[in-house]
Amino acid sequence: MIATTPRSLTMVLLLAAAPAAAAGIDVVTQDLAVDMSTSVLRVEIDAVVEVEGYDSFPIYGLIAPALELRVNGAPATLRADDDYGALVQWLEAPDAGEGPWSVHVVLEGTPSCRSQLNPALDACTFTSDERVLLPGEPGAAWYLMNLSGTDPFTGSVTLRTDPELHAAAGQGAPLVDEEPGDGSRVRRFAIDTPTETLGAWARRGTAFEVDVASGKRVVVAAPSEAAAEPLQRTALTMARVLPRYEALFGALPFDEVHVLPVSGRFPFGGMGLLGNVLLGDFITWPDFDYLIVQGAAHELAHSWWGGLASSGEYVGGGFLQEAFAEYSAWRALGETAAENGEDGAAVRLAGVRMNAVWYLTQTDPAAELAILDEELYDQQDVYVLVTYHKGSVVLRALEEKVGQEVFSAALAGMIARGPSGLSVDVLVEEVAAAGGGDITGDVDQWLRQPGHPVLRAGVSEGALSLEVEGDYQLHVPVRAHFADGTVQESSLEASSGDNALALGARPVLVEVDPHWTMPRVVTPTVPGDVSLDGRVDAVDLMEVALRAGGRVPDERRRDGAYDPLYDVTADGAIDEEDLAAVREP
Amino acid sequence: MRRLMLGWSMVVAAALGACMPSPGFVEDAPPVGPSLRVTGVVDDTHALLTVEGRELGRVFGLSFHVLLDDALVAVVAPEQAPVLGEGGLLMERVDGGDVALGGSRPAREAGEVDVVDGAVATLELRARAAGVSRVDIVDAVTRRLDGSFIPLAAAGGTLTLEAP
Repeated sequence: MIATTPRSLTMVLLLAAAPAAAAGIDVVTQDLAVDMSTSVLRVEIDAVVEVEGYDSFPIYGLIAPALELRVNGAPATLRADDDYGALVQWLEAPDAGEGPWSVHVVLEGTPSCRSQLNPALDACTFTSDERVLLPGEPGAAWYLMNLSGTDPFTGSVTLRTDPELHAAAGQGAPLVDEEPGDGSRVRRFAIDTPTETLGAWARRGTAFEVDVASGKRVVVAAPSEAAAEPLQRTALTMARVLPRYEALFGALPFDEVHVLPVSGRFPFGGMGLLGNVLLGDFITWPDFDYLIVQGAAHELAHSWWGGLASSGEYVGGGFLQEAFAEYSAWRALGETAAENGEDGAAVRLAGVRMNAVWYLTQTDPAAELAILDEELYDQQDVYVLVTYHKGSVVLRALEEKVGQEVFSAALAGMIARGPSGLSVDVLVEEVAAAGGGDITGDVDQWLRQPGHPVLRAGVSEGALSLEVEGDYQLHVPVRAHFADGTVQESSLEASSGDNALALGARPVLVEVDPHWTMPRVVTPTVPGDVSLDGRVDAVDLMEVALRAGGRVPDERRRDGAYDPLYDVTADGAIDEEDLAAVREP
Repeated sequence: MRRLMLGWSMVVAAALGACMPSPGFVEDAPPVGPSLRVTGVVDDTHALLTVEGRELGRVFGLSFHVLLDDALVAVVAPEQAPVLGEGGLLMERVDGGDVALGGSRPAREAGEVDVVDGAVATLELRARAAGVSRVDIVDAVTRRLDGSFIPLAAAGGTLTLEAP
């Protein structure tokens, strides 16, 4: 998701705080009948839960009062948790006996929709034009969410709505779409692929479909005329990205993907569920045009990273879903841009650099934590910086290290691990299985220590000198340009301290890691020598001038075309001051 | 015999003197295609070298180094012609016998300019000691707006100055 609040983290914290005694609980199926056709929300939950040795288990607190609650036909109760109050409830069924529990719950009430975790935000939307239930959060769950651990289930969602509202839930196109004659419309959606994150969405607006080359469809519903163009443009991009994801990670087991705008105080810029991408309405506004396509691509990637495969791990769980979704988004956007005749490498580079630069410029080194630090979830700002931004660039580094083909095979292998199957150890295993060798050291240096390497570079006597500051073993791509017009592509396996790469002749320009394949800073040995050839000359002037106008963006996810190497004065902008610094040091 | 030896010595001295070139600048053969060449005017202990461009075409920037023997000559004042148009940024940097010259358009938005054939730079030199030395242009390139390099052929020459 495009994180804007700590809500998801709070959920993780609650999850982690759950009593281990509930570990023998498995929600197997849930069939959900959601009536959103009136101002009163009614949800009937019919679930099968495997319970071994317990007579109660904790769930996220429900969004409305339970009118009925039975387990195996016998009355059961919900009890607020002693510590978390209504955020967590215990489903207690002392008379249920051993074996599977057949749970029947009826919720009914007018939801307040105010998040109990963050009252400034909404947990749902319930207006005449829009009815949206977000994936259950503590105190606002509309299906059973087992608090004892990641617990995906199958089943179905049946929505009853105003017949004029477009609707989506579950996975794919509705299996049933009928108007029973009572003024409502009923649509049933499958949950064939196990998941535990569901949304239910219905909204008035104009829907349109974009056919995907693979035979699937992207369906978008625009709530207003102003939102139609950006959403349609987003859908067209999604229709190109979807088959790319499927080629990389495996096909989605359904034929329709939805892009669903949500109004109100939506807690995230975007949220990716399996087959459904929720986007905050504000993303369709002109000021956020830079965000809508990349955000939708990121959220769609969650159909794999968090959907078809997910992590049940506390430490690293965010990295395994968010960093992989972000990495996937820019890879797919670049590759599909190239297929569309655009400069795909530049598209991908801009995205990777954007992530790297935001991490590098916004991180307080004194406060930074490692991506796999147990305390990371307590520091929301640091979490976002290192998980989304550094983490996605780290995956780019791993791709560069083992090769794109090997890394792609490893990613496909990870997705095949399925729900709850992802872990950092699985990443290491799948890279090894794909022929990429042992990346344990890479994982340790990038994920288990904070910070980033600084590369000091310059040419002397026909060799590139590269000093690596920090405890790293790096695969550093190097591109050298010579005055005769030749270009030499090579790489340097560099470790902490001094390293050298023979170039054969003196170049006029050396690019160290030109494609931003890692979170790093490159700085010249000779001040002002941004061409890294060991001398300051007009090539340096041109290098800065070609990047003039770049600046550290003041918003997350906005590409400022900024590279600190060319910001000679280190003031956050590549401008005339940097040109002057090269001309008159 | 003494007279004979003296006369022979004078002949040898005259012959040696004839081998010492007069102050001047001898150009290398002119290059073909996009190129830079050096011409020079010499006045005993001083020289004014001119770097001329040919067929440079449309450029975003230009860079080259003039290499001199700084044991024999000193750079008094490098100057460049405004060949990069309005807003073009020029730089001259002298590091011993390495004189870095050239410049750039100020930003991508400023686009490229056409560089017409003719002088792009002049270097006023003075002798540190009498002698013959090479003047060479190395690493001569132009760049296009897309960042690509265009190599330039180059021709220097041989400079002879008298002792100051």
